[in-house]
Amino acid sequence: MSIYFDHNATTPMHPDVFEAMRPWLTERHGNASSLHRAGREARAAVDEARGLVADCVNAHPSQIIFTGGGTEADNMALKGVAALRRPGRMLISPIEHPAITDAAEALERDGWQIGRVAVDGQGRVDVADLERQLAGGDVALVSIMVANNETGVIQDMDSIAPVVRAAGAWLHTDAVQAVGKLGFDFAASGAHCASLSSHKIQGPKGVGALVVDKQMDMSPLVHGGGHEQGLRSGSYNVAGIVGFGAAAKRLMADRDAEIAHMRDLRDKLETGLDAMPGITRFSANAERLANTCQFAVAGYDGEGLLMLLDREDIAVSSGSACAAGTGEPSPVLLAMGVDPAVAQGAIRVSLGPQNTLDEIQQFLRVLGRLSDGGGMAMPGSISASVLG
Amino acid sequence: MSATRDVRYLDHAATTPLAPGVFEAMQQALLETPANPASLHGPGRAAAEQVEMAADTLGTLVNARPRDLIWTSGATESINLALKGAAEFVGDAAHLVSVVTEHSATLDTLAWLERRGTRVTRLGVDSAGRLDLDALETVVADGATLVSVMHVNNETGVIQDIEAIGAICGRHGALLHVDAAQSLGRLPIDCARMNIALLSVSAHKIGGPKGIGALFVRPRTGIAAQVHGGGQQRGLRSGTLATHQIAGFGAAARRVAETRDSEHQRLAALRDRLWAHIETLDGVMRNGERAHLAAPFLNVSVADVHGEALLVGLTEGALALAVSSGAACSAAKGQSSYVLRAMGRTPREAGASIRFSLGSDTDTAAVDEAGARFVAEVRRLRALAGVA
Repeated sequence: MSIYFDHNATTPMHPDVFEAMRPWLTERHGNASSLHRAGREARAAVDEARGLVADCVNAHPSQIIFTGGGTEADNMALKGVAALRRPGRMLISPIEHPAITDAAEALERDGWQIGRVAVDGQGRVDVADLERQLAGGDVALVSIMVANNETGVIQDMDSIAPVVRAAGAWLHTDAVQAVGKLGFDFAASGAHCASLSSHKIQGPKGVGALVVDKQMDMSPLVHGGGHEQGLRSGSYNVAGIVGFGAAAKRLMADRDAEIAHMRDLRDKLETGLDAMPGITRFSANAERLANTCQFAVAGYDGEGLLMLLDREDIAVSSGSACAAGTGEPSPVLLAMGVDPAVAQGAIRVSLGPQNTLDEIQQFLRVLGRLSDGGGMAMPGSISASVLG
Repeated sequence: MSATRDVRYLDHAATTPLAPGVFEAMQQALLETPANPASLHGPGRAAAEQVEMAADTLGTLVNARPRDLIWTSGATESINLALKGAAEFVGDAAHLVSVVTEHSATLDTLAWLERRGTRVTRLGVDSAGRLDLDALETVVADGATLVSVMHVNNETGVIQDIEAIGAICGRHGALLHVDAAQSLGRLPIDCARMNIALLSVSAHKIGGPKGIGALFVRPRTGIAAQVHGGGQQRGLRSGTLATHQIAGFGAAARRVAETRDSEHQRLAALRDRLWAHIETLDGVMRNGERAHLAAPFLNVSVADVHGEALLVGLTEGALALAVSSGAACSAAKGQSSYVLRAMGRTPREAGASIRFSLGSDTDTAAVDEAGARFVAEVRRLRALAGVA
């Protein structure tokens, strides 16, 4: 049986979600902007889903702007604020998802100054440094993620938000990884806008949302037709949005039990890892998502180990799926001060609610067998990528 | 679904039901290849294979290379990427030329670019909705960098001569962007022969799912990314690819490749049959010239009837017609059609206009019922208003 340990990359769709989508892919096919009955039915379904997503993150339905995914939502937050102003300053952390770091670099090319707030060796944002960088009072927006996709480290938003608000800046947070594995309360977070993604919570790929506080001035990223209060145009992906709503609804009912289950498995995994030689666990002392464990095995390149595990039908990641295949060590780990040679060996296990203790034990057995090899007999194509 | 039993769906320009085989392709992708197609492991590669197969099919349909395809969340995003991307790449020298009857995705994007300092020229159309090619050539010769024209108008079905426009662009070194949302699967598209540098397409107009589109970018066409992130799709459009959506688009493209020419004949005959019913009325006018209309479209202006009353009268009642008074996008805003006004219709004529758009599930009986229902409704409203 194959083992899927890559839930931070994407999650398999929940059967309830698929059933919720089915009618909107078959007999009910209206365009949600059409005035006739088929259109109005589709619009009602979109709005019901909007309510469910809003409930799931404790926001008002009118604050939910549906997008084509979390990456688009992240881009919209930064560029939507930037488009209405002369170039100024924004702050991000160096451990943000590439959707934020790359969007920020695009703004840098347009003349924006992007400050990067320091993180400690565990990957936690240094709030004192944040405060220092905000002191000039000229920062338009700060973007800091709730929880990191690679390490799973949870940021202290309760400390971060008041500091940002006191400086008069907008606060955006990428809550894509947090919603399913921690929970996210928009109203309580102190953020002015937040990015969400459906496919990280057993919903369909290709749909996400930006939750936006009404007091924010923001330009759309996608123009044409004026959907979503003029902030995001394009025909509604009705089935996708319905699926997102169904995933949010299911999550609200099941999340606490799922988190407890994943935490239990993850802790057993880490107990096993800690008993093995040559394992470095990252962010081990920080508060993390219940499902995420990132570590390196001495003597292995992360992508090489990933491929060896793949041969055993075990799917893990060597970082963000988005950056997969680049062969570069994780920028997140480098920002935490991890030695590049060690960072090069990182792999990420991210569990889901369907994973079992048997799978954890099988994974530990395989890993033990691979690392017991000492010289580790590896096929030529892979040994080339092994460090040291 | 008793609610839809008595509805004749004649709004295929707004959106289409899924074609045979599309739901199955999506279901298979959702359940059997749920991983992230950017992941390196086996499940990720299986998802990536689905994406590649769909790109092959779509590339063949428009005679472009699969590797030149960028997946987007829909035609609106494709158009935004084409226009903003091309303008940003060229910078201050950019001069974009388009037509007043374009979809709002184009017009709103051009207006946004213009506010930011980009030079934009909008050309009018004649009473048949057609672009004057001599006028176009004069403007293009004056140093246009990009010409953006829709192949088939979404309200009227008017076809522009893309091959001639492509030749003009070729003579003067301008790029041609074609909004083919309404022509894909309905008319032949040949990117190479038509000299198309950028082609925007959408799945849900050809029996595919909503929320997925594509932009073909001919090699060495300079465009700047608009959504930054993980660097998927050669960095031109980041974000996790929605495998099931793409598989659905591919299945729909495969289907229309087989049925396009026979459907064109069949729908043209049905469209003429529908007009034969309607032209028994006095004071009705067909918008566009038959020789230059895509087969599924019939746009009718009706004298002595209030447009909104007519639309409501048709879309409600025992036999409801799902038709539209223009683009679904502008329908929601209650505006009279700028497309018809550009063709010289008075605001009143433009207001009392109905778009029928036929599709794969339209048959002779549906057309006869719709024609009789339309004639009866116009007579009823005229009698109510005291018009003979």
